[in-house]
Amino acid sequence: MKNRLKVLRAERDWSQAELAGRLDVSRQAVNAIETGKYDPSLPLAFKIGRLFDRKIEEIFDDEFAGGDNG
Amino acid sequence: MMNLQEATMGDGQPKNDRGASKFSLSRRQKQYWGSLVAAAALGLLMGWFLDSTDAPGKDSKDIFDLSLAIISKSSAISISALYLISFIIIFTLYHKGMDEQEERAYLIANTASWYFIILSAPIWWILSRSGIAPPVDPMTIATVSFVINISVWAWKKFF
Repeated sequence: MKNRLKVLRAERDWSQAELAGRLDVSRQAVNAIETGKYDPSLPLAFKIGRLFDRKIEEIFDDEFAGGDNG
Repeated sequence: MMNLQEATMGDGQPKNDRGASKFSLSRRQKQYWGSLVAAAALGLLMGWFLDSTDAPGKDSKDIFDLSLAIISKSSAISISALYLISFIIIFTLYHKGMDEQEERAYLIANTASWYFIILSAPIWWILSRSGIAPPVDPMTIATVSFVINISVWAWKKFF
């Protein structure tokens, strides 16, 4: 899933390790989310949203929005 | 300037300007690394114990002789019980202390190694009954499944 986490992190001049510390996850987890290799759980997505004061859909792309949801 | 919400995000501990906890490691991280240190310490302790029970006169410097040394029944039972009880506790703490991305890496790694076992063992057994393959060696299957497990875990966690 595409997301704007790297951009939001860069706006605050945080390293991946700093963001990981704020979210209480590993740096590898932040890297995996940023590169789209790992989609965070809902609790972690909400935590990210609260940290950046954004709604989840403002950070993560809902690629199925407006399309066929199956 | 960070607001209060940002300053306490994560584990609820106050964070400094660089995002690190003022108390160094979070509770989850302490549990995670503490369990790893405990596992390493216990492994060293058991290795030392096994080495001390080696046969007299044997070259104890050769660490690879460790698994071949004959030990008493009481030692074997004691070590097995220590291994079982301690590592159940340590592994429980370890898995509760890891983050969700590593949890997923373990899920995939454990699934891969499990399917290797349930595919390779019966096939090897059937082939050995016809004489095509040598008798089944459980240690070989266990070792390869361990290598698969750690390889997939590292791939999913770090790459």
